[in-house]
Amino acid sequence: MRVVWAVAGKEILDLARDRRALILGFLLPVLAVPGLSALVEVGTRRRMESPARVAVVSSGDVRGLLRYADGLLEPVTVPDPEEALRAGRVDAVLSIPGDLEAEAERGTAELVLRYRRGDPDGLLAREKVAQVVARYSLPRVDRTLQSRGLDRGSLVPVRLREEAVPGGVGWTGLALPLFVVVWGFAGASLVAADLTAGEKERGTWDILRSAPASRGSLVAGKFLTCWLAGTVLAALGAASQFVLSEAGPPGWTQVFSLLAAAGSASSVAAACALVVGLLSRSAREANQWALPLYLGALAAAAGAEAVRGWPAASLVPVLNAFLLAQQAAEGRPEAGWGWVTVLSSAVLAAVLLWAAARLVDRE
Amino acid sequence: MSIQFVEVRKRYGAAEVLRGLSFQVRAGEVAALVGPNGAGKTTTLRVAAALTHPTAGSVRVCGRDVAADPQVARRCVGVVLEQAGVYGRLSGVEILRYFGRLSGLPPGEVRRRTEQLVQWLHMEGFCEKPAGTYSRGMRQRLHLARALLHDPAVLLLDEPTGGLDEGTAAVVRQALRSLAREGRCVLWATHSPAEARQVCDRVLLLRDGRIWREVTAAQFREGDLPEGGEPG
Repeated sequence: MRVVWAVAGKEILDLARDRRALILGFLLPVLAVPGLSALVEVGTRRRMESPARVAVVSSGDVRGLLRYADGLLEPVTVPDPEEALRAGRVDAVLSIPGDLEAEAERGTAELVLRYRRGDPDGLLAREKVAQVVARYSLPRVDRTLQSRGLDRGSLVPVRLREEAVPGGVGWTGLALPLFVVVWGFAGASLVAADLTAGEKERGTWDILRSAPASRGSLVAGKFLTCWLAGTVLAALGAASQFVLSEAGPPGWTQVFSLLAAAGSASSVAAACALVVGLLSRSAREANQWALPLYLGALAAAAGAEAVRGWPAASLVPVLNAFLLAQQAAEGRPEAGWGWVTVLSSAVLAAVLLWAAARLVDRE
Repeated sequence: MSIQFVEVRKRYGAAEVLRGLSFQVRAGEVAALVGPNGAGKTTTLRVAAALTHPTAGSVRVCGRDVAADPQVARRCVGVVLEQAGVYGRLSGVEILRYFGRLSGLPPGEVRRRTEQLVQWLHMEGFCEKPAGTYSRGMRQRLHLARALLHDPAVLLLDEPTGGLDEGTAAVVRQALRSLAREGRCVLWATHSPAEARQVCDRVLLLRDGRIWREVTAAQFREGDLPEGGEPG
């Protein structure tokens, strides 16, 4: 074990002195990604709060309707509304009958709204136009009800009162399991590429191999470093996501489960990436080969929802880590699932490390 | 015998680099491996250091079969490779301590050996600085210190003075002679006939993966160099 600690200690010291790795590896999950998430959220909110640009087509006077559009719609005049819609210069085209007031009084008014169904701004425009139409219709509905001795309340026999209480992970918290797996993979595999194929490039690999240390100890020391880097990166990413989410500070079981998920994903990633690094001639080649590993991790994350609740999924490395992180994010981690995740990941990592130790002396 | 090669062959794909190489080097002897580029000098050293597996034949270092027990063989071998890199963010002392621990030496012994070698190879002025800032001469001295850290009985050196200024080369040559006097076996791949004459007891002339001639250092002349290219 002394050799294992010696290798891990040296690699961690070397990594700690690499400013570029520290900046990229640690500030990225803590600041950059949450910062980007916040920017996306601000952009989305601004888009929702700004009025939709709607081309209004009508032969009559529509001021009565547009009086209710303040803050929701920005009516624009364009020579060819259909072309403007296709080109994205307007979010929607609203066709209003020329005699809207009269038709509305008769209850036969029909407005036509055209929008691009794949355009988020078009979908938002639809919501906003619906609100304007509702506001415009409401006084008439009230008058009609009054004339019949009714009020709005009599149309809704059952009412729903909503009371929001603090809690839940919010939209940001939903991304947490993905970040745990992705950061665990990224941290472990980037470091593994540097500690194996990178050493070959720098000419230190052969002097390391000339040392009278067992191959298993050399691989285990490097594995510890990669695993630690992946776990720390995933934990930092998870912590920053928690801060951004509305869930509040996590409980101890959530923290342990998230660490178990991060450590499990990182152990598989580190062992895979060490094998790939030992088969590669340069760090660049190792990183190219690691790309399918990332995609595999993402595929596991993407498919997780479909197998959620299946007990057998707890035996599939990476997928089980993703689901464990999901349980932790939702505040209901299962201890049994956590143990199976840790053990199955450890078994796979051990098999891969056994293979890696045999690759150290490969020519 | 400290190093014994018997009919060693090494093939890389279609190319056979060593073709039945046989030689011996005794304890306390400095032997030079001299030959043109591609003669197989570096491969010979790598096979002896258990860094490359021979395709056929037998290699024994300190009486141990390298193929059967590479880890034990490595314990009695120190290697300086021609194009070896350094851990640029670690200081020379940190690198030496790292390799001391890899060799299984107790912490006190690692410290003692490191201090001894730093002094012996005149590394006091730079050994605490990051190795990435070292000149070629400083790196070669660091590699020599690393190779000697676990007190090996056999030293395998690939052009250890290549690219060094005369002063540093003299320090290295002097160090190697005194190591041989202590009873160590040194196998030195060099391109310099003058250096081979100056430092070595015996010269093994290598051509096409075989020992072509074997002469004493005193007998060795420029005309003895095998044909087939520049010596190297």
